[in-house]
Amino acid sequence: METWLIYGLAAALFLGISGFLIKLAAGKDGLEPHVVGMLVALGALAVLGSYYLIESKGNFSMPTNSMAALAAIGSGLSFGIGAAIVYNGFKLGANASQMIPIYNMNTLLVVILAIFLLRELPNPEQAVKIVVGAVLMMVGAILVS
Amino acid sequence: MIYGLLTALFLGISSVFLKLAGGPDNYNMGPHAVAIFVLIGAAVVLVPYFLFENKFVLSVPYGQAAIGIAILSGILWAVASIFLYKGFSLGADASKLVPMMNVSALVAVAIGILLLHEMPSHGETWRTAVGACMVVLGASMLG
Repeated sequence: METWLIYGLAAALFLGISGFLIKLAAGKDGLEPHVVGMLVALGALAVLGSYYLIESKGNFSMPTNSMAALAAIGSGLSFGIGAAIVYNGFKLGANASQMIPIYNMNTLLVVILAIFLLRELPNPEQAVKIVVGAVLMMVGAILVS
Repeated sequence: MIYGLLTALFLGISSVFLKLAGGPDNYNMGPHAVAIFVLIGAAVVLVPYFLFENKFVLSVPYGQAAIGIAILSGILWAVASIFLYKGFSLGADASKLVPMMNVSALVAVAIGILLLHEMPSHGETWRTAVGACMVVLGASMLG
């Protein structure tokens, strides 16, 4: 098994538990969406801040590639907006079984953007395999949700 | 439904930006640096959102359990993110790594069954089993 695949599955494991807890925290009788957002950000700050401090080994200089930094900040901005929207959805009473399949459609968006913008596919045969695999995973996730 | 679609849009864009920042064939930023910049971006949205909605009052009138669950969720999301950044830094394609995140749906169902004893009804059992098989099959095609 390739290492990136192990990382992907490990990420899915933690993401699954996190999503389950979000539903508990942000459900109809739970916290207000803006409070959930702030608390999730605090939890993320504890982990990602520590990770940065440990991995940077005392060298806190920022990367010189400003495009990379902009892309990473753009990712955080998009995540923050997406997160705020989903917390509001749960607060309005959306069931996880309704909400999760819809926002899981981001998988298809990523596959399309990766193919056309990041040019990730070396040959048509692999393209079919990736698209079919992604669709199977997305539909499967909808069925189990 | 609209909230779900908007979330899908922003999460999709977020994942592509992640690959762009950390992929070795793209801008090749280290996973720890990606982490800190993603955190900055998310804070730019979530902190003002909290302050405006909470009318600039810092206290939150909720029990420790609810607060603890939300913080724990953030901690686990961040751990998941680190694995994601590391996957991209190894050169994983976004079109393969991101669909793998759908395995998280199986995790959520397993937790519901094991911890909350949310057993699916007879009809749902088949749906869940077929869905789980599709997720595993899809994962094997991508991996």
